[in-house]
Amino acid sequence: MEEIKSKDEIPTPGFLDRIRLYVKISEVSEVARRYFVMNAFDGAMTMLGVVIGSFSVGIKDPRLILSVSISASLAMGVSGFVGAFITERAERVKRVKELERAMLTNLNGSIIYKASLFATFLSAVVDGGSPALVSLVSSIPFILAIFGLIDMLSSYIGSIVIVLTILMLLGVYLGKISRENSLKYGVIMLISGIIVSLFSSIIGKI
Amino acid sequence: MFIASYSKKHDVRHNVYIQRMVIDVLKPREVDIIEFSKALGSVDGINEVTTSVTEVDVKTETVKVTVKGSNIDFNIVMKVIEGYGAVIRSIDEVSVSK
Repeated sequence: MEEIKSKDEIPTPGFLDRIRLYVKISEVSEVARRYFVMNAFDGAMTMLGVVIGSFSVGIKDPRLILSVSISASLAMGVSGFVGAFITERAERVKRVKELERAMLTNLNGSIIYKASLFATFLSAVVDGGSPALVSLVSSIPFILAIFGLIDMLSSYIGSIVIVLTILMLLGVYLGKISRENSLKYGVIMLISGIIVSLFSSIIGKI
Repeated sequence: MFIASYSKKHDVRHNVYIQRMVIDVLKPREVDIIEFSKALGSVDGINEVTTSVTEVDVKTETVKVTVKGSNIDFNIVMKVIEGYGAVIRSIDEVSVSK
């Protein structure tokens, strides 16, 4: 028979299993999905505003638009990360404290505590990452224009097409989540993008 | 002298092994009993785990955990249970054998 084991023999699940467990326990996937769509939408709209505004005032230098969009994506990324981190942390700490009260125990170091930390980080990364990613992707045509691969007009059109496509895809994704008509959601998102485009171009003309 | 030789001969930790325990556990509802039971089942010396829910509350659940094995180390069982944010309320049954 074996001897009494030391405490290092507590079985610990592998990295991926642990992540899966944290996601399940903290129910973060729903929150992260919401953050992702909301902020990707924000990022796309901001980029649409920047691109159409620049087009209507006749900016011809792709570097200018690129630097504006990179700064905007950085700002949205940082604000999203910090904002979501603080908000989510407060909510999660509250939940853990309520549970501690219900169980009359300290949950520090338990899987519940670790899962809530993980959920906080994941939400913050998604919240900051999604707008930054969307605005960086939609500024790819301007990078191509800097290298002289496409002309300025094509880069404007390319960027607008990318943004509108992203909006449409976000709508389709939401439609898939709610198991309703994906196209309907896609079109609603697209229309909101077109409204922003119209307003931006009108403001640019004033 | 007699006591020393007796305790050496009958060293509890080396001769007697826990083979079955019934533990009353309070756990958060977020932790589902499948994960919880699997974690306990993967501890060395445990061959079988049966978990049944006896009481459900808003945030917590009381479960009766029956662990069977050749050599159950209660300290590790306790650490695994605590690791899942659960607490042992009582140990209701223990079977030991040589």
